[in-house]
Amino acid sequence: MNADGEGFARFVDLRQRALQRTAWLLTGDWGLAEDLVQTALARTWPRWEKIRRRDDPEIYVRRVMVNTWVTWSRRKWRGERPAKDLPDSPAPGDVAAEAVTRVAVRSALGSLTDRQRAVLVLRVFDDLTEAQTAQVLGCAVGTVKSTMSQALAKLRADRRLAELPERENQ
Amino acid sequence: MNGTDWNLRDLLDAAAGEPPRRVTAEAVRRRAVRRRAARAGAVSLAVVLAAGLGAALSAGAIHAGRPPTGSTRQHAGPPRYYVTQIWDAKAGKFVLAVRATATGRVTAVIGNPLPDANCGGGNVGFAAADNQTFFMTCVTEHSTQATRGPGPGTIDSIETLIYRFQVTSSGRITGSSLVRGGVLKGVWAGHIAAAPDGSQVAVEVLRPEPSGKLYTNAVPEGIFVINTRTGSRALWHTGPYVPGAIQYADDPDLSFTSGGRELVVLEARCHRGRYLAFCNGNADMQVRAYGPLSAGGSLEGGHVLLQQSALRPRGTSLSDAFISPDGSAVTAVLTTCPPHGTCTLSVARISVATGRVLRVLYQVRTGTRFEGVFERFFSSDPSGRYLILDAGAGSARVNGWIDHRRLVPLAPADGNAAGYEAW
Repeated sequence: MNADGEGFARFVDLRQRALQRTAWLLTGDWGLAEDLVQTALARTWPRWEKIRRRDDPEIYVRRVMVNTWVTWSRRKWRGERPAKDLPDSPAPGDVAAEAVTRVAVRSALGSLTDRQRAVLVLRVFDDLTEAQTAQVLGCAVGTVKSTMSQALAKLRADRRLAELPERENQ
Repeated sequence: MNGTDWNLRDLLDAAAGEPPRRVTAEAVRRRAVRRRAARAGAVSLAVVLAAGLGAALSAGAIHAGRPPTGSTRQHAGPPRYYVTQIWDAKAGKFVLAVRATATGRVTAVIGNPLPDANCGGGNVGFAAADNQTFFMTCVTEHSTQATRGPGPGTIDSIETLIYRFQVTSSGRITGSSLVRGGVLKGVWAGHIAAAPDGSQVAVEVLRPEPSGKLYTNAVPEGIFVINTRTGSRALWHTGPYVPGAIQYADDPDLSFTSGGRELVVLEARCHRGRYLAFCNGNADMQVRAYGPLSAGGSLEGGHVLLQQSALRPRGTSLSDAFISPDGSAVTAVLTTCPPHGTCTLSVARISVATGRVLRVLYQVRTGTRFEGVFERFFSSDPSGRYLILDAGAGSARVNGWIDHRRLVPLAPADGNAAGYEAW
C-alpha cells in the first residue's frame, strides 16, 4: 500500500465512527448510515491525494455525505437497500431510556427539512463553525444562521423532546 | 454554543449511540471498484443499446413492430480468488493459500499464526464469510506418543483457536487475528462455517474420550456458535448418549441463513457408539435448522428441513447441503445409483416447503457403484450463486465451479491435487 493509500486507510479507521454517527442522525437508520458513509468515502477515495493537499479531507467527506444523502432523500427509489435486520450488538446501560431518547430524537429530526437537519447535525453534533457548515452545504453563512434558528425553534416546540427527562451535561 | 445547544448536543450524542459495525478502508475500496465497474458497464450498455437501436432503426424493425434481437443480460462472474489447501513440500504439510480463480496462480499464502498449530487443516478447516473475510481453525495439541505399534498416542491437552483473515481485492492477505471468544479449550474443531456478514461462526467440536484417544475414538461435543463481535458463545450440544437410540453423530456441512438467524446443519444420525463421532454406514442424513442461536440447546431438537430417507428414487444419498440465504431452499449434492447402471451425481436446489427439486444446477454420470463414486467437497459462496464441486470416480474426477449446468475447471484442474476450496 502506498503512502496515499495508508493515509486514506488511517483516515477511515480514525473517523469512521464519527462519520457513521453523523450519518445516523441524518438517516435515522444504521444500515443506511453505513451505506452513506461507504458511498461518500468511495466517492472521495479516487481523488484522495488532491483533496488532502487542497482541502480539509473531513470537510470534503462530510460535504459528499450530505449531498449524497440529500440526493437519496429526494429519490423515491434507492439504489441499494440495506438489510432490514441488523446483527445483534451488545446493549449496555439503560436500554429502555436510550431507546426512548433515540425514538424521540429521530422523530424530532424527522420533522425538520433536509437542510435544517443537515445544518443542525453539522453545527451542534459535529461542532463545525458556521463558515465550515456553509462550506459543506455550499451556501452562505447567513443561510446557515437563519436555517439553524428555524431548526432550533422547531425543536424547542417539539413535545416529544420536551417530555424527555433532563440529561446532565458531561 | 449556548446551554440549549449543549443540551441538544447531549441528546443527539445519546441518540446516535454506537455504530453496530466498522467501516473499513478495504470495504470502501471494494465499493469504489464496483462503482467504477458499474459505470463502465453502464457506458458499454449504453453503447450496445445505441448500436442496437441504430441497427433496429436502419432495419426498420421498430417501425414494423418487431422486437430487436440480442440479449443484454449480464452477471458479475464468480469471485476472483478462492482459498485452498496446498501441499507445502518443504514444510511437509498442507498450508492455506489464495489462488486466482481464472489462472490458478497463488497470490498469497496464509501464515501460520501459531508455530506449533495445525491451521486450516482437516476437511473443512476454513470458511468464507463474504468472499473477503475468512475464518480458519488452528489446533494445538500435546500428546503422549504411542510407544508400541503405529498410530497416535493419547491427547494430554488440546485447544482450538479461531482466526480471521481478509483477502484483499488483489488477492493478498492482510494478516490474521484471533476471533473474540475463539479460544476453545479441550476440544478439536471439525467443520467451520461463517455467517454471510461474518458476525458469527459455527464450529463443530469433538472431545477426546476419557482415556485421551482422539483419532480413533472421540466424543461429538456439538457445535459452538460464536458471536465474533461480542465473543459470546452458545453450544448446540449432543444429547446424552443413549445406547441403541438414533442420535446426532457428525455433520458434513454447516451454513447460516442470511443475517445469521438460524444455523442449518446437514447431519448424520445413527445408532452410534458412545465414543464414535461418526456412523458406520446406515446413517440417515438430515438437514436440520437450529435457532435462536444465542441461546444454544440440544442437537436432538431443531426442525427437519430435508431428510435423505424421504428423497426419491429410494437409495438417493445426500452428501452435502447448504441453506439459501433466505432460508427457502437447500442446495444439495445427491447421488443416485440404480442397482444395475451408472450412478448420477446431481447438484440441485430443493424447496424446503415442499421437498421438491426446484432446479438441477449440474449433473454428471460417475460410473457404477463399484467404481468408487464419490464427492469430495462442495462449497458455496455466501450468495449461494457460485458453487465449487470436487467429484467424480476413478480417472473421471472433476474439480470446478458450476456455471449454468457446466463445470468450469478450477485451475489447477487436476482434482487429485486439490484440497478443500472455498470462496
